[in-house]
Amino acid sequence: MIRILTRTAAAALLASAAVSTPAMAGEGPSDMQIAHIAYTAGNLDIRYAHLALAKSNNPEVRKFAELMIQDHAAVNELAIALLTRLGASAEDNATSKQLTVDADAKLNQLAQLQGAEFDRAYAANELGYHQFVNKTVETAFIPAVDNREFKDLLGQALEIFKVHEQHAERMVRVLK
Amino acid sequence: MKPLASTTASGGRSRGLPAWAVPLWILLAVLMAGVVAWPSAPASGKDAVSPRVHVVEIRHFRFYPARLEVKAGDVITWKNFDAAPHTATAKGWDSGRLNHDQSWSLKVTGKGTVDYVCTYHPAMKGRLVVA
Repeated sequence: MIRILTRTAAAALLASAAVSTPAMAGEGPSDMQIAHIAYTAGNLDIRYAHLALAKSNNPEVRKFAELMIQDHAAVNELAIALLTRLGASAEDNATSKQLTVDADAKLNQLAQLQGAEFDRAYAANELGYHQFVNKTVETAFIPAVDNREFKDLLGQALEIFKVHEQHAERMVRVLK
Repeated sequence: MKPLASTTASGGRSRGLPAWAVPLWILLAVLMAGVVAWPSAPASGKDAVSPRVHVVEIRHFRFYPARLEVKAGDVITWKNFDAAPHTATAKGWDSGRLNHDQSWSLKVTGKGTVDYVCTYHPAMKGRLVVA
């Protein structure tokens, strides 16, 4: 179930990005839509992390969750600073909305779990979430973005999210 | 591993400054160190070694250089170029959270080798060798 929901979100991400190849320029998501999707994805991971801090007593899980809040907030602050400097605004879109709907369902589902069961489900969700988001950012968003500074920021963010993905892999192994 | 006997943190945190002021701060620090490091009149004949400022850059989840040799009395400044917050933390001193473009300085007063890490990402390791 965890994977199914995560895949729904990822499918939405990839679907939005799939039409952004140069051959179909103009039909894919704009830079500001991608900014909104990336910002939303970061915020949703922060929400997952707050749930983990509210529910888990596992030090490994709590440390990971604190790192997610810190790093995703930092990236999103840099994104806002860049948009402000560019005089641009992120643009809400169907993919951002779908991500939020999926995450709401997943958060409700996770909230029903307790103890080690919650910890394992949170860890698995974090791994899946970062795998799919990273793949999307790397293969679809970064190549599609036009603005140089925004492209660089996405590259920096991807570097962080890949570290998170590795961290989540370790967390999943430890909690087995 | 011998810890530094005494270290003092110098107020290098640039939090709150506008982004343009950070490189300026580093430049000032380097210039000031340069003034000290280049004695205009070595008339005393002594080989007085003046403190230097070393910069450790934090990039791509690594410390550059990861191993740094310094002299007691030197100042080391860590600057975070990553989007992710990092720290430089050892037994006895801690930069605290360094956000993107923030820096923190430490004056080393004792000799020895000190290993440090980023507490958020413990795989990030650095070493100071103080002679």
